[in-house]
Amino acid sequence: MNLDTNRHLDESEIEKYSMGDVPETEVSRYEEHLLICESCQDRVTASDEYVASMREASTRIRQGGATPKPSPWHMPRPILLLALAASLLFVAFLGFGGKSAGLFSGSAGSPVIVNMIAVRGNDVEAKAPAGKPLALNLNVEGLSPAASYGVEIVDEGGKSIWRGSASAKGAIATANAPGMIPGHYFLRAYSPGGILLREFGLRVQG
Amino acid sequence: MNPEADQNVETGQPGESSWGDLVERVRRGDASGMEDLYRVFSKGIRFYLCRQVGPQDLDDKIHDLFLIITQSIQKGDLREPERLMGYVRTIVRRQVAGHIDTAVQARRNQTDMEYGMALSDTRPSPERRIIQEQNMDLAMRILNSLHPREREVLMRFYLREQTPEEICRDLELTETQFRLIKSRAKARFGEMGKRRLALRNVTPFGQAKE
Repeated sequence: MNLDTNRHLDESEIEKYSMGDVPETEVSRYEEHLLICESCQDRVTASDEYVASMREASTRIRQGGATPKPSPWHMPRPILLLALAASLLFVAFLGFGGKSAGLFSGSAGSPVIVNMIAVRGNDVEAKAPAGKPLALNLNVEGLSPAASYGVEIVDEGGKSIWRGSASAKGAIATANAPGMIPGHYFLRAYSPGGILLREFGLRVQG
Repeated sequence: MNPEADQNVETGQPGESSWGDLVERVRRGDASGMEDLYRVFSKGIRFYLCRQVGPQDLDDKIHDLFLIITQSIQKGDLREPERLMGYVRTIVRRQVAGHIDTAVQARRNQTDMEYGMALSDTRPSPERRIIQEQNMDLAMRILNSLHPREREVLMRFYLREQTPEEICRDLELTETQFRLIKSRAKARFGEMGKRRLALRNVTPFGQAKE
């Protein structure tokens, strides 16, 4: 047991303390450190707020107060077919030079190469210009090797806006995505079996 | 106190040998000792009290605690000065336990209370309530945006308080996948919260929506 009260608490310790999961034998080290460390106090406060919010939201969802929106990939078959048809029409519309009013914008010009690295914090994200098709280079180093990976782009609210695949070569997997309107997006890389493996941040700027 | 004499690199607070100097000055009734004691511990005590018993009468409670701590040190109750942090924590915990005990007694006897007796309002302030509601809304958006399986992971962890081992076993996840789901949701919560604050800060005064 580590009794060093001068050491900052790590993320899992902060979460444990927030959730009241610290064993009684260790709680003194946590609390003695917290008595004198403002930085860890702030982190515990933030964690308390997060945990309380997740509990409250989970309770409401469990009680049916707010039914979760079904994933677009779990649509009933007729709706899925309709959505597919609508997507094809939309693509055809873009192909004939129509202007997009949605999240995607015109695909004029050659693709812009965007190198993606995994999200490690809030400030790490790739940047791309709006309205240009994107050639996304995803860093897949360290993942189970695969010939291709599933790729999904979601907006900041987690709403799926594009799905495709990335072909892998070594530590890089490449995917081509349409141009997008300015905003903050997340790219998700999935295994061929559909398991989420990695997430990347992307800011599209006007 | 000489701040460079013995200072912990991480916390910026006195190291063990400086606790002895601080305790000695408090024992002597040296004003600088009291000031340093207050400076080092007041935020931590405020944090602990607020977390355990809420924000009501916080300043009074902190003042009472410092009186108890200094008097106790002056009486020589603290025999090992390098254990000052543990000593302060013990006193604060005792006070919190006493406060909770009093509150429980008051609740038990509340039917006997005389009409007009003052009671603390333990509900959060209106501003605090709005912040809590906004945070809950963010959490709801995050949960709703997730794949049902990922949402299940978070709900099991935060609501049902299942251990990571149980969740990984039941949902056939690796520890890395579990941590990834959890940390991504938390990062997004922080990101969305920061954006909300930023939006709030740039709204010119007087132009806010009615």
